[in-house]
Amino acid sequence: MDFKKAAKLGSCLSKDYAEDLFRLLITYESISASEAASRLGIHIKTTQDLLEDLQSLEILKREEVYEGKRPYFRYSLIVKEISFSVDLTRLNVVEKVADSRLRMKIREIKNAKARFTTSRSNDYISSVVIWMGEGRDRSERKFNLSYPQGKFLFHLPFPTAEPVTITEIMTKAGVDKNNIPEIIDIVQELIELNVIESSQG
Amino acid sequence: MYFSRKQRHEFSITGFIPAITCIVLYALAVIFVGPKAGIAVAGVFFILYSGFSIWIFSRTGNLSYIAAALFQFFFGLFFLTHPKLSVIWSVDSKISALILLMCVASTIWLFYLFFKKRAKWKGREVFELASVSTEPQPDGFTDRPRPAGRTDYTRSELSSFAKFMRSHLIAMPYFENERIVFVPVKMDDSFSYLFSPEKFRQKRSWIAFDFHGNITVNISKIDYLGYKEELSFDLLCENMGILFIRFMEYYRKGEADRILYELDEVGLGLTS
Repeated sequence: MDFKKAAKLGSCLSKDYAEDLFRLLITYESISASEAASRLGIHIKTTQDLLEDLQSLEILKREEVYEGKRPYFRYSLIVKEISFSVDLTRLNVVEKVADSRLRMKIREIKNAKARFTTSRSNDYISSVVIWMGEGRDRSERKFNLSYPQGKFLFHLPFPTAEPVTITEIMTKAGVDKNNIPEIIDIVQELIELNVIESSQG
Repeated sequence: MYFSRKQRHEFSITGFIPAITCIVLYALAVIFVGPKAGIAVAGVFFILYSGFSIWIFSRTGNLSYIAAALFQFFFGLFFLTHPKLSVIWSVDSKISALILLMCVASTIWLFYLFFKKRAKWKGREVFELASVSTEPQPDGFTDRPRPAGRTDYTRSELSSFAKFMRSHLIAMPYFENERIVFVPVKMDDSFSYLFSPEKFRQKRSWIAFDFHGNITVNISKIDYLGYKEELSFDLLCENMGILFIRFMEYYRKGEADRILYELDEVGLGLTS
């Protein structure tokens, strides 16, 4: 199961009323949202959302039925047990970034709305504060950096300098290859927030 | 070599404040008490100011402040003790003549140092030299420091280089555990530096030499806005680093005079 599906399932199962709902589902051949809501004493919309989520996860099936001319759904269980596993190694981006993203040329973007704070020793960046929005809606987002990330950003080319590949910056900064994933992570985040600009090398 | 000016011309009356204060006090004393009282007030002011000059010498090690202190002290003493001018206590005319001689001698020394630019705070020259061959390129400013390279030196060489830079008013050193940070001070910023060096450095440009040979440059927004145009910020920081590395190399080779020569060659005025 991919991480997003697992997260959705986890969210469904963590509801206070989830166990009671499953008890109803296993007891009834099929049940509507209003029937379940009245049995559990919760709002019909809350019940409906949970049933829809379980249906999208292929734990329930739904069937459209009519009461007079009014259509509604009845839900029934299609599984007798739930088990899932998540492969965390797939989250590691080292393999993917080893070739293409390390060749990406980057530099600080012009007029980036960011403030770089240096460490006490002034030889690495300890945090980046990024301003987002305008006027009253303006907000700050602060990234506290790991030491390798801070060393890397300390050597990030200035806005008027020639862009340099991530590999070259890592070499200049003396950052170990084991830190590639966290470097790529912060670079991608700062690209999305318009602090760093990139071009393919 | 001809240098086109890249910094804005700034006029500040900070340097004239002591002279203006002295004139005002003298005038007030003359108006409310009499001419001799005016001279006595000026004399006391000069002597007190010589103490201030010695304090600046203790902070910078710059000889011109000793010359200024002697000049102020002897002039003050002359005003206070001259048989015809004094209202406090007068001395023998021969002693007064000797004091006058000392006044003249210290004045000549002070003028010599002044015209040789030994009394000049050279921050503006430093920024001019860093901007040579830097072309305009807008929107390049960032408040990050920039690694500016490496050079070789020992800890003791760095310390003596720092003393040299301080005593010639090129850049004021701040001694830290792992490095020495140099802050160039312009003529009109000298009082801000002297009265509050820690506060002064917070918003100013600096060049740091750590004890492993790494040089880092940070050009502040205040100093960057001091240029008439938006210069290529990256190149400006790089040039600043190269300039200080060159100064260090001159110093290590025993050619420190070349640093002063290079700064004088910029050709800025004696009070700018």
